[in-house]
Amino acid sequence: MEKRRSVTDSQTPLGAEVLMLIAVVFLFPSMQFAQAFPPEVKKASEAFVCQCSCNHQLSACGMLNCGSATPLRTEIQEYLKQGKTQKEIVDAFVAKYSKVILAAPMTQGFDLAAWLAPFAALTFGLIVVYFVIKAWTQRKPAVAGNASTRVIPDAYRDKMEKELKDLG
Amino acid sequence: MLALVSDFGQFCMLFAFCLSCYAIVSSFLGGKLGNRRLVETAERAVMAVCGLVTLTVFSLWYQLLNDNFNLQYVAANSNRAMPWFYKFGALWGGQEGSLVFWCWILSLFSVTAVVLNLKKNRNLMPYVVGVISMVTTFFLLVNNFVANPFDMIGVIRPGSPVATSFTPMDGNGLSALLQYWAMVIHPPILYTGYVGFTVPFAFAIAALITRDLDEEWIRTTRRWMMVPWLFQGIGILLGAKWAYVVLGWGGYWSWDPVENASLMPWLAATAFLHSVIMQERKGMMKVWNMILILSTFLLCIFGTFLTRSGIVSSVHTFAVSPIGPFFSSFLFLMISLSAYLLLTRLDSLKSENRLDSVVSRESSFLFNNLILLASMFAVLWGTIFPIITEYLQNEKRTVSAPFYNKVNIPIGLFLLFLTGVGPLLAWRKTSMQSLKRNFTMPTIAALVTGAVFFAFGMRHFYSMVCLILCVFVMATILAEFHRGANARRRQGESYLEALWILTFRNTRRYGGYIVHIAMVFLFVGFAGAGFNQDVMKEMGPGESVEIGSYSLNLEQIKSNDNPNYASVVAVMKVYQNGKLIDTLLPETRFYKAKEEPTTEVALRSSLKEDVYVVLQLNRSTSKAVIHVFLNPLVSWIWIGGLVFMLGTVVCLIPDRHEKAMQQVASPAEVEELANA
Repeated sequence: MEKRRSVTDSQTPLGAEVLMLIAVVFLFPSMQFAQAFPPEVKKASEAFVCQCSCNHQLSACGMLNCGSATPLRTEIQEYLKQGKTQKEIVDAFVAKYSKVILAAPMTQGFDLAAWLAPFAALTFGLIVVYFVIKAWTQRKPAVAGNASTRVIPDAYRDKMEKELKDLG
Repeated sequence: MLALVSDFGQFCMLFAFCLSCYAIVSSFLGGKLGNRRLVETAERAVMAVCGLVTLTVFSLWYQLLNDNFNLQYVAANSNRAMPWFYKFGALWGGQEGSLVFWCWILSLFSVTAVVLNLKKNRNLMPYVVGVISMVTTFFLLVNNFVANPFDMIGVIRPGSPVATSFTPMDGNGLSALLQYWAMVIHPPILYTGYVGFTVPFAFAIAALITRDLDEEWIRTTRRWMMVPWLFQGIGILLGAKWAYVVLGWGGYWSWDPVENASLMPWLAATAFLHSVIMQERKGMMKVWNMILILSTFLLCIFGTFLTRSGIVSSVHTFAVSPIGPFFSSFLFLMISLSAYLLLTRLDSLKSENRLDSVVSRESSFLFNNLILLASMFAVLWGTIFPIITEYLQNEKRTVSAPFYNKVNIPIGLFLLFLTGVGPLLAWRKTSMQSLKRNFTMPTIAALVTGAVFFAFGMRHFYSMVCLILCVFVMATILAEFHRGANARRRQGESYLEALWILTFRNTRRYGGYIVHIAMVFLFVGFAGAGFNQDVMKEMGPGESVEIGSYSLNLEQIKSNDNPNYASVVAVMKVYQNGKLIDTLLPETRFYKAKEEPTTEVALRSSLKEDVYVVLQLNRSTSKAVIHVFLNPLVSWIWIGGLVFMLGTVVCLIPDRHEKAMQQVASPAEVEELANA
């Protein structure tokens, strides 16, 4: 299950720092570059979504060509240094970038519909299932000769049920 | 030669479109007039279309493998430095090629459907052929006139009123994110799932048109549904594997619209594969099953429209495209056709049986369907909510993981609970004695597990509930196998022999249990996400980073360069409790043609946890940014995928009951068989 790679071609016998510099300048000319942030920045950035079309939370975006994650995380770090709370950071981000920056719809106004609709649908479904079960339990037994009994006669069905019961 | 083959491919595609149009007309006309010869010509046209689309696909492969950058598609999705297998995979790496590929799989399915039904379902087949041909024609229409993979690159030169042909020296290359082994097989498998759902849809429409809604068509349809369901499931998991290993964010599922688009039809199909049992055994839920079959296909088209039209943003590549209006029109047409036929045939779809008790297998199927559909709706709603807000409020919203996790986790857990409960409830009515017998041990096992987890300090609510339910479900399933095997042992069989015979004598039931075991494994994997840890650190050589019981030391950094990409590799020694256990090589690549960077994750995987290392670079400090994730239990997801395959394949093997039913021609013969 391990993933190993061999490093064979054009290995340069220089120090790692020099190699990294060469890599940065020559090998990756148009790449955006990462920066390590403290855990509190990661925690605060979970409320937002990255703007590089990756659809990941800002805390999770790992795209190397992402031009938005590092600046946004830096901005959060600045807000945290200023002593802003999570709510204040959210308000500041919404004011600056609009609600599209939020990782999930808010729980107020029209956005509340996003949260309520699935559970409303589930509740509606439960009501439907209740009435279906009620209707089916009140229905008279099926008459002999309908489609299902025509294809699986009682004798065969009973034999199957007996076998299944034996197995159980 | 390249130009000739390209023209030939284009001609085949156009000819296939014409023949497919003919197949629609002749099959529907033949069905309506009862003209067997017309229907036969339609079936031959379907075979010819398959041959022609095959030639089209091979022509395009020829262009890709021979670097004909005169074609826009080849120039945009391939380049000289790419290995041959990625050039091969570039067929489905872009919009136009993937649509041709889609059409090819559909034509193969069409031929298979025709060949397998040469002697059965004859009254349905004209309409089955007609409907499949409608779908094929739509894709060929898009391919011929909107997204043509054989379009050439033209340049308007000064003084010339028309564009002249131009061949660039090299192509842009396949997206760097797609240059991964799983991406060579993931799209074909996923497309096989998507496309395969066309066949049950065609059978459903045919059954509605002819009002021939007896058991035969639903038995045929169940099998046709199960095959794409299998492929779709594997495709989804391969996609998750790709996301896990290539995107480098430490997770495997991000609720991206493209992921959602593939999950929705799979959930609807899963609901159908459960509720169809009710129709086959009890003659119930006929309208519901019809709705599920139709919805599964319509969700495939809807998902395709959603993700290929560019109306939602996605990490996937088919971003902006003019094909949106075509897909929305086709979707509208299919919805209208389905709704009209369904509403006008409601009288033929009435349930035939009654429910004896609320505590029964029948009602568990109802709840199972409700929960699956609620989950599907939550995914659909979250995916389209940004479009709705933009339309109604002129302001976009984003719906990502926090929404889906909050809504779908409770629903998923309830579904897991039903997975354990449902199969142990008896048909018609479950007695209290049976409930006690079946559920006492699994409940005790689950409660003990919960107590142990709690005693060991586990406090993540959802993960804990999930793992407790996994134990409960696994115990119920294993108890079922054990009871069955024990009953057979009384006939002198060994335990393993009894298990084997038990499974293959009732493949649907025990194959289904194996699929449920797979679901347990998947949920074990999902539960692990509650305990994920990660740490990110800028490091130079000799420095180390700690996570869990591991310590990772950055030993050295190396560089690579080849015509396709340049890369930097970090050599990381992994220590556990002070002992060297592995060397990991996380890598960052820069693909030259596309000017696109990717992470190549280094992974040490075990049943307990994955050590997942990503290398990034910091421009200002010229240091390595090492992001280490410790992801518990992820391997169980991939194991679950393998067990899922096994279980579904077992389900597809006809057991003795099915064989008997297939061979029986009349009720008298059934009676005779039963009495034998």
